[in-house]
Amino acid sequence: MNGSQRYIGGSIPERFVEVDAARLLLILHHFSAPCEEQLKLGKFFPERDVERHFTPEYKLPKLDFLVRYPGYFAYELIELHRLNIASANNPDDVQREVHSILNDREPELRTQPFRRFWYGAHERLNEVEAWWHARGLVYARIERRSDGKPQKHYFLTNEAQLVADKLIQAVEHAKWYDNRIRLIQQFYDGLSASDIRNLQYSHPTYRDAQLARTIPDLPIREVIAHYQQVFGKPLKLIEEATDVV
Amino acid sequence: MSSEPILNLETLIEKVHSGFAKKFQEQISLHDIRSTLSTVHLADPPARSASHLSIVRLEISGSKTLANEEHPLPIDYAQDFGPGVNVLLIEDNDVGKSSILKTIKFALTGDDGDYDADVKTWITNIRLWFSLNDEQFLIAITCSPESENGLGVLYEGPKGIELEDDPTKSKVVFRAPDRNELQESLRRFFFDKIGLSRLAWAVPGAKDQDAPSEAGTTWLTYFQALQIPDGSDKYLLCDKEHSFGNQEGLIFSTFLGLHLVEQLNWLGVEASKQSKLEKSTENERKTLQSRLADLEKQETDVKDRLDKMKRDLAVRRKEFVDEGFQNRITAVQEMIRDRLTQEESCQREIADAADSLSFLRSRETQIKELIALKLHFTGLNVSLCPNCDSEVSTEELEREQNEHLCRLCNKPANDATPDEIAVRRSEAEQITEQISLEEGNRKQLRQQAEALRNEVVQLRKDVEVLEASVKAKLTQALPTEEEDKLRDKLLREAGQLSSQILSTTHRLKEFQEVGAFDESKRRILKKARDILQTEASRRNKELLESLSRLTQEVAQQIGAESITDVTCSELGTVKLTKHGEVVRFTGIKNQGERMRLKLAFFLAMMRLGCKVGYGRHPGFLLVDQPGSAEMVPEDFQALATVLHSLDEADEEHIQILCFTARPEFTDATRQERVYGSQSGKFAF
Repeated sequence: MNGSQRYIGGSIPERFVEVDAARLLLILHHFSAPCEEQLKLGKFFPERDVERHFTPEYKLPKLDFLVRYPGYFAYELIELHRLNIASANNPDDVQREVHSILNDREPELRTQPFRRFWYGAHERLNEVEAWWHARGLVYARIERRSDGKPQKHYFLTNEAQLVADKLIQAVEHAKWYDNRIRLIQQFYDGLSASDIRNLQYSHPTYRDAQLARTIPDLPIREVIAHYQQVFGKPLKLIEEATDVV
Repeated sequence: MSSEPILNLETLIEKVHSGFAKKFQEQISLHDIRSTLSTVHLADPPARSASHLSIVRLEISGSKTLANEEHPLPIDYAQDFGPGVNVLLIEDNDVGKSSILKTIKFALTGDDGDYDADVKTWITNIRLWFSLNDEQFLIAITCSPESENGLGVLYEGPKGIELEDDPTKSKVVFRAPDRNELQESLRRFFFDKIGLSRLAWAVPGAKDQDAPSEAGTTWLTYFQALQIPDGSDKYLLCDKEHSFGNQEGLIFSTFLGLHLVEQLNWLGVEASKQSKLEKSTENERKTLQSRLADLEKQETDVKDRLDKMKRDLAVRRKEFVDEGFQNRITAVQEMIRDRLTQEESCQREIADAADSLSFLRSRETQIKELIALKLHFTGLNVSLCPNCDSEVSTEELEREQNEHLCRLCNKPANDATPDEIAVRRSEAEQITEQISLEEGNRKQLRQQAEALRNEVVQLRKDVEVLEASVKAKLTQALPTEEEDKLRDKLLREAGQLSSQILSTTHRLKEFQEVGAFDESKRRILKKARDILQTEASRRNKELLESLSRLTQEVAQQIGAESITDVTCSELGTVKLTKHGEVVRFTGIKNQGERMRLKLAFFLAMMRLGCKVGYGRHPGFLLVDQPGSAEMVPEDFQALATVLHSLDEADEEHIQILCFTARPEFTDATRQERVYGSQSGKFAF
């Protein structure tokens, strides 16, 4: 197995820049907004043609965590319903998505470990940003703010949107990412970056993960137990999905 | 009286001791004899005349209910009696003559047991005046219908006075609130006045182990010498019912005034008690021995049963142990543990396989994703330098194409994308194969785990079966509830039997220790009694000769000439000689002869009492229906003549009240002492 180390959830630390660039591009594609005129006045605004904009930087790994940990995502969907978040009020929607995630064995097949740093899930994106930049897709710019704290902004070119659309159409894996990101957008639409972070921190497994180590995946039985507790009925899985329970 | 000196106690003691065989003289000391005989008094009491009892007047009141009368009729009977022979003559039966006699007896003794039941309820008051020598008495009895107990009062006062109406001229001797007290008070009164003593006889204990006790003669016992009841010719003095314990002899001995009667009686009673005690002791000893043997047998039986239970239980336990259940269960449980360990190991391998599969599947997904994305991005050109943000020039593109130098850094370019993809595809294929192998391996592991689980289930069933067998066998091996109860019962029985055996053995030992002294006492008493009998015989000689002479005189007077001699032993046993042969009273077959002889004996006894120092009979006699069915009118006439001659001879010393339906007895006394009915044909 190329001497690779095994991790919980069957993930490996080896990263592939094309995979990260594609997945994060799709997140930016869905969560970015058109550049406002005021933004264009900033010194950090690129001199090249850009169409859309995404900030703050730390929101990106929070959203990426939800994509890379389907088990946590399923748990948080139930939690959103329990917390009466408007987007998750419909129990049928939540139950359907949780069933789908677990029956498709996503926690086993789709989990990609994330390292934990000071502010939770975080990875350096230098390679990805360079990959984007070299291909004229996304430009990263630092804003020197008056409070002294720099803030990174991602600017998406028109080419980036075209590439993303083509990617979704052409590559099956990208379609899955696209669907998952849309689902995240559907349920987390009204939540701020800090809300999302707080939700993730509310889970001990996440909160207590050691620095610089990968965040352990959530045992499926915890999701099942939470489902039973919140919805008052058992979560029935298809037989193939029970292997990992 | 013989001139030989009267025996005293010390002489008696010496005679008793010297009378023993040498062997017993060594065993029984003079001290033992003195201790045993210390209460014997050998001096004769002062000579005295017998008190003469005479009925003066009888009053009976109450009311009677007759079958042919609608209402109760009052009873108001009053009759004066004179000295000598008195005859109550009513020439019919069942008219109340005997009730008059029974009333007199009731008033003098307190015993109303002879009354007919109806008559008993009729009488409410009885007043009987009587004299003892010169003393006058009135006994007044009230029979309350509300109470079974009558109230009796004995007054002392002059004859002819209404004693109760003039308490200054009379005094109350006693008041008896109930019947028992009345009987006891009358006993004390007459014993004192007539000079009787309470002679006794020994009776066995109620149970074998009880010591014999004494029964004493009552006034009622002695009263048998003062009456000749109707139909009493079959016995001399006491019928069978009253002859127990030589009462007849005691009565004769007393009324005849025989010497040493009380001492002989005491010695006899003590000897009898000792004998009975010895007999009862021997009986008890035998009973105890028998009981001990029985108890020991029972104990042996109980112990045998307990031993058998123990042996049976041991056999059952051995059978249980021999089955080796514990080893078999341990072996199976060991197998279960082994299979469970194997299954656990299997499950761990399955879990590892699951992890591997997850890892491989995840990796496969990632590789395939990488391949797809790499292929997709192949056509996406690098147009800017991410470092300086400069655009890639046409020259740099041509250089890269022609010289294989990087368009950005100008270093040799690795156009290896197709090879890398091939490597990744190969890797993906390997992973797919590995997944297939892992899945097969996991399937096998699962089958293996299931087989182990099934085996464990089967083994647990085996254990259950074994445990059930153990339980069943153990139930057989252990004592049942019934056996436990039986064992407890037998143990209790064994304990009780052991205790009883100990107690019985102890009592038997006691018998052996105390038996020798009792035997000595019995010998002393018997020897002393023999000596005293001889002494009594010597002292009674003159008295008994007088009795014999008097009896023969009367017998000849009343036509019993065949009786040639009458003797009486020191103990009151009467023997008759008829035509030279000694016969018993009951041995005389002729009923009339027996009646005559009986009357002669009574009269002789009464006459003897008239002499100072000769007897104590009070000279009073009640005769109910003298004669018998076998007697012809001439016999009755002869009997009446005898009575008449007695009346003339001893009128002042005797009183005979004769109750009869025979007209011949009109001649038994003077005309004024012949009384008739006072209520029509009835006596009262």
